[in-house]
Amino acid sequence: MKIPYSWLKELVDIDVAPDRLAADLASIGIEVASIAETKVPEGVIVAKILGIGKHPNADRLSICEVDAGGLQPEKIVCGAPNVRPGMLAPLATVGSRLGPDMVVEKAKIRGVDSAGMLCSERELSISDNHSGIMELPADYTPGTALKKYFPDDAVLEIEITPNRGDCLSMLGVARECAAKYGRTVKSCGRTPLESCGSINDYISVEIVNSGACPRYLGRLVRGVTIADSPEWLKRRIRACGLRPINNIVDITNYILLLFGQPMHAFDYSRIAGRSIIVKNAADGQLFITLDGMERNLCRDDLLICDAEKAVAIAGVMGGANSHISATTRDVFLECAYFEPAAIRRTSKRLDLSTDASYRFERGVDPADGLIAAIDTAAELIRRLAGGEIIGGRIDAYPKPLTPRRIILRPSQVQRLLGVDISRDRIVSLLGALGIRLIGGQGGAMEFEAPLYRHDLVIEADLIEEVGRLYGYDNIPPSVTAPVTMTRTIGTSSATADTIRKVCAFQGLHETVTGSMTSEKRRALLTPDIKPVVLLNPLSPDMAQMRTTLAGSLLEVVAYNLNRKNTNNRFFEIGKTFASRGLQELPDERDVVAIIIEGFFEAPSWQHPGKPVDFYILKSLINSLARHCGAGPVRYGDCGSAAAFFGQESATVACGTTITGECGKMREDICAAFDIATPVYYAQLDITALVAAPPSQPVYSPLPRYPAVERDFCFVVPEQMRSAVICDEIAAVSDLVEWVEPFDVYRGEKLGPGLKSIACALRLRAPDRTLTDTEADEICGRIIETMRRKHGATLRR
Amino acid sequence: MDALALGRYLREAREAKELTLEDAERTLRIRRRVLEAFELGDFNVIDASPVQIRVMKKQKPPIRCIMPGKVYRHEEISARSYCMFTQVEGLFIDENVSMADLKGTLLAFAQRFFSEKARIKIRSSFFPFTEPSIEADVECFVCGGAGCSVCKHSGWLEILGAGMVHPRVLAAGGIDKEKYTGFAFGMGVERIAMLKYRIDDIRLFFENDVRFLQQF
Repeated sequence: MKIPYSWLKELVDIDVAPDRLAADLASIGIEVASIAETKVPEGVIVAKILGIGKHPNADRLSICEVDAGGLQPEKIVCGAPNVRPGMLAPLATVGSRLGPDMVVEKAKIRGVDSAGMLCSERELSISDNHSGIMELPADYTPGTALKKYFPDDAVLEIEITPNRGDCLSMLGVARECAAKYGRTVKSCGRTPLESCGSINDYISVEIVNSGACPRYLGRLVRGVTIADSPEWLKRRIRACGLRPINNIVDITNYILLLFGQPMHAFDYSRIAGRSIIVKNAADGQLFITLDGMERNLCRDDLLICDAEKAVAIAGVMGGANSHISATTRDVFLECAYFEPAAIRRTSKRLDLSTDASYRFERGVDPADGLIAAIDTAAELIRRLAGGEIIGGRIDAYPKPLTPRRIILRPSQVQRLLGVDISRDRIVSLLGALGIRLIGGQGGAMEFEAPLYRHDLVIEADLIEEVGRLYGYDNIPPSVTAPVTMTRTIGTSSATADTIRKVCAFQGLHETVTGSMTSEKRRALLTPDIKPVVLLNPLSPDMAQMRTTLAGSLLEVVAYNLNRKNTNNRFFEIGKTFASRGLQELPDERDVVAIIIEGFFEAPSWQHPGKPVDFYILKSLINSLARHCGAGPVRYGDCGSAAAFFGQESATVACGTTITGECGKMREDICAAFDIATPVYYAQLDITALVAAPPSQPVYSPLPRYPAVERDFCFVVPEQMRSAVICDEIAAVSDLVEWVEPFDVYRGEKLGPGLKSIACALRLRAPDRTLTDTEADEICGRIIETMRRKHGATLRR
Repeated sequence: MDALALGRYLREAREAKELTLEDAERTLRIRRRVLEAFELGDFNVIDASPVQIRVMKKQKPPIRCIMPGKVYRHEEISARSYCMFTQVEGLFIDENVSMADLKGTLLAFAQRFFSEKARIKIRSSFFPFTEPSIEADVECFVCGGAGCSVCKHSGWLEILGAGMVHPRVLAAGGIDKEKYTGFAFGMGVERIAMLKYRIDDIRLFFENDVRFLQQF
């Protein structure tokens, strides 16, 4: 909201400069986003254009002869399209400074002398308007300094928190200033000069839904003339960021700005049956608002109706059928208090927010403010648009609202603010805000809050009022007594710290990505997981919570590849989400994901480079698990790994718990993200990494006796995995120290559906040198077990 | 069910019981503003922190904790705002905890994090879950308060929102509001990082361009 400093000064004595005022307002809770100073430069005067001639050397320029208050007319070269004889305009005379680098000099423009420059509003920093030369009112005196008519001013752009609807007006801000500076707000209302007659003879008001409309005031002004507003009013409205329309509309806007009270002016002749009825719409009722749009209403929407039809959507916007037009003679003024929730509902549903609805939603003054607003409006209309005010005003107020009473204990002020503020001081601070002491018992005091302060409900609310006026900067900071408390960091967050370190040492970059994804992405990556769907998504791209981190990391890789950042390696610690139905909270898991792409070791002139592959991914996972204290990692059947992996994939288990999965991303998945290079990805469950038994190392003596090494070649069915063979071999004897596959062969000689796996084996006894006989005996058992359990034969 | 349909369902259910929003507020101990927001399908106003309530329900005072995490809001994405950010919340509940303690804590933070000589300024503000509510500014560490482009020539940088825990929040957490008081604060990690490292676009944090990540 825009607050002109000059207007504010009319309402309350302020003797500080705008920047200081801004800081003071901020300290009590009114944030000032910006201050725009308007300062008409010295040397700019009012000039009257007497005649216009063509420039001899330039088509677009003209030579204006102006009366600048001197004895002789001056000649000014001008390029603006809107100059005409008789017009008054600002003239920057020679020597005036229009900006830091702009001093007006006596100049020859295309060979013609110019004694200054006619200015637009923007050139004078009055507004952003640069469409032509600024036009001044006809009653200004040529030769006078423009400063006389445009004194230095500043416009403060303020931001009001949603609880302080009462500050959405000049009066509201003035009240805050008065409280801050210990002044009183000057009276700004006007008493209407009524002529004869009684409004009750002209119109009746009936409130059907008094819950949504607790109070409705009306006045009638007859015989007005619709015209432009006087300059002072237009300027004020413009300074606050509104557009002048005509005197009646401008006056209602002026009242809105001054009192924060939205008003509506109806053309009285278009109100059928001389009656106003405030009631709800019917479902599906159509109504054309004054912006020409047809609105589809429902039974929640409150309407202002006449005897035949709706004439306005209450508190939101008037109707096209009854608004003020150039021919309006009699004006019916509406000034009401609508229930904030009712207006918010309609405004939200119609997606129609107006200056009026914005204020009604936050709560206006249902008491004195309402009366001051309508009386002042009527009187201004009488003065500025002529006409006569019919005697009396309608005041439909079925259930008068009573001010809230709140108990405040001074001990609580001390307890919450941490500073001792005397009883008298509390009473005077609150009194400055219109919060009156009305009684009290024992130590407690009872206060009554003004009706316009909808935010004051409980004791703490009053303590806040005391605190902000006393000044939070005046409360000395205290150092709380140090206490010994056990510092508990969740195990998963300790593991996360370890993961970060390990990954960073491996040269991986940590990413943080959005946790939301699109239905399309989710269905592509995890077609079988039921997602958590957002009720009110920001966009379809963020309509669901992610079920895997794969999509986010693929996007990051793609983003970097598009920027020619190659050889990407990232990790992210984040949550995945899966729905467990509406009755239960979703399944949220803390996971770590790793993605690698391109070269893991970049090629150089001495080194061919090492592209990423499955073994690099495995070594990263092993390293992570080891540092997190999780037991040896085992890679299992890829069958249960996520669908986005291709053939080369595996589940990851620490101990007996499946911790995650890893592998090469399917090419078509990569292509969906516009990635053409191979991508390897792993995702591990952090809780499972922690849940795995911690491997507390126990020293085993270094071997003192030599080992015996043997190789085997088993012919097995195609689907048998080498890990199964190795596990089987290791289980045969405690003396098997190490076993690992080293070759796979498939060929016609073996027959269809068979393959041969070659394994190397190391046997060692801790207490003696093994004899060949002992080794042969173990090998015999291995061959026998493999044959019996898996039908494997030795390849000859 | 979309947001508006859900809202309508909730309202009709309430109206069928002939309860006003105020009645519902009393029975459910959920702020009227929030109930209303649900009924209107207007989720923009819902910003209370469920983590704090959970801590209060699990643990008896004294409570002193820090809660970092991702938070989401319905916001247009621009250089200055993103629909997601990392929030660090703090909660301190004990007997006789006051605004003076909050100030001391924030001052200690500013002096450790920005500079030993850092000063802070407290402004009145509004948050639904604290009363009184404040915002804290730290003296600009770039210009030392003299005014520069980082602090937009004000000499101060806004760093966080805070306040004394609202009695209703205490009650919702099962804590006796006559015995205990507390303060809470919340700050955006990205925002503080932006100030500290003079990053001018919050989206950089979430785009994950390697050339950005490499700088830290």
